[in-house]
Amino acid sequence: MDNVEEIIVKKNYHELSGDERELIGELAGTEEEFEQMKFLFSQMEMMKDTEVLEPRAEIKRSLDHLFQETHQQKARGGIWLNSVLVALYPVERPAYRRPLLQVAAAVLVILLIVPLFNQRIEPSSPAQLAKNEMKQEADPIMDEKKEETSTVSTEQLNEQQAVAPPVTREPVPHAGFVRDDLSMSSAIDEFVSAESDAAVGAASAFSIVDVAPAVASADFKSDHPDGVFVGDHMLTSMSAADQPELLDLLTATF
Amino acid sequence: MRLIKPSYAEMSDEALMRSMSNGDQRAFDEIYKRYSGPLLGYFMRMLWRDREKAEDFVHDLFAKIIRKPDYFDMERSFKTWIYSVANNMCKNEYKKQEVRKGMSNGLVNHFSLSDTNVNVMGEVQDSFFREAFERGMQSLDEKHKEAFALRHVEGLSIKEISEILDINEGTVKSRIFYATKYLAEELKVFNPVINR
Repeated sequence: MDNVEEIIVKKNYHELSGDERELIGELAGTEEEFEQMKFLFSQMEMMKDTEVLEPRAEIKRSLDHLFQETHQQKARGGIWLNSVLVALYPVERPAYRRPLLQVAAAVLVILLIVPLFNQRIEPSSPAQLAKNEMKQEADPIMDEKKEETSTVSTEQLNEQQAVAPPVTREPVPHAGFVRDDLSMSSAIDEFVSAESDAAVGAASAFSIVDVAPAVASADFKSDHPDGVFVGDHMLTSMSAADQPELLDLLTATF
Repeated sequence: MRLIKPSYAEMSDEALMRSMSNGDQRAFDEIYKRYSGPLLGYFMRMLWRDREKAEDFVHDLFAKIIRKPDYFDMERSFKTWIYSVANNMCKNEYKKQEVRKGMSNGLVNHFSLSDTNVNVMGEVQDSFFREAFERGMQSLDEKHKEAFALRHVEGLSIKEISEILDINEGTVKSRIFYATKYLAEELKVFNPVINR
């Protein structure tokens, strides 16, 4: 029906296609009928445009009065209803477009996010360590292997220590002695000559093992782990650069 | 987004009805502004161009809306609903007139009213066509008149009219077709193209 009216209003009779004539045939079979319809529709459009009717103002006033009476209680709070509540919570809009809900959602998001910024970030390594420990506990085979390895390494270390002379315990004589006891001068001279011989001869051949008997014979004893002599006889220390083996022992110790 | 207040002119009829039922006076004002004029025109066409009666009907219709806004089903189209209420009011008036006609020995009161109003109201006197059109409308029987008025005067769709009149769309088309053919024939004397 809409199409028929549209065709009649917009087109002239001679412009109609075969399909259109068939479509409007029932309403306007001939050109005269077509023109009658066209005239009627166009005149009605003009009437709609010109005819603007309004009821009397008394009717509106009467209805306003009736409205006030019907909604008397609500009308008392009308200022709030119209200005604040309707603005913040317009029921005609979908929920996501209501300002009150939007503000509430924003506050909720802020409340959830702010604590995250205040939270102290813990380093990840303790957690990772804990995970490793758990793995170790969970794998007894690995534990046994590790124990064996550690036992072996400890034994090897002990063997090395046994093989190695108690260098740190036995003081190594050095040219820089400070001693009051003049009775030791001969021993010192002997030591100095021995050291100089070793340095000149071959650096590889020189070892503390070679020197130790001489020191022992000189009765140099010290309980200090660094080889410092404290006591009546002598107060001295040896440079580690002169004896690199000491450094190896120190590494094993630590 | 408006934070201060909603724009009533932009709100749908249904949203205005919801606000109005909550006591929002401005929502009622907007609904009245939208529909009072068209409904007055509709009542005038349906009630023999009796403006006074038409205005009374407009008042009664809006009074019903104020007192019983819950009668409107928010799921429905407000436009369809309000015209169906208006149409039912007209039908009731026709029944009343039928009873009066029976009691007044066949005198047709409303035609005399209509003629008087046509003469009294100056708004249609300047147009012979309009007078003839209104006469043609009044001479149509009620079911054709209401279908034609809703379609061509109020501008409703076939589907909306079928909802308002509670008849199927085929029947609506048939009634409009008949009324259009009748009025076109009645008014052809005003057509300068045919009368050349």
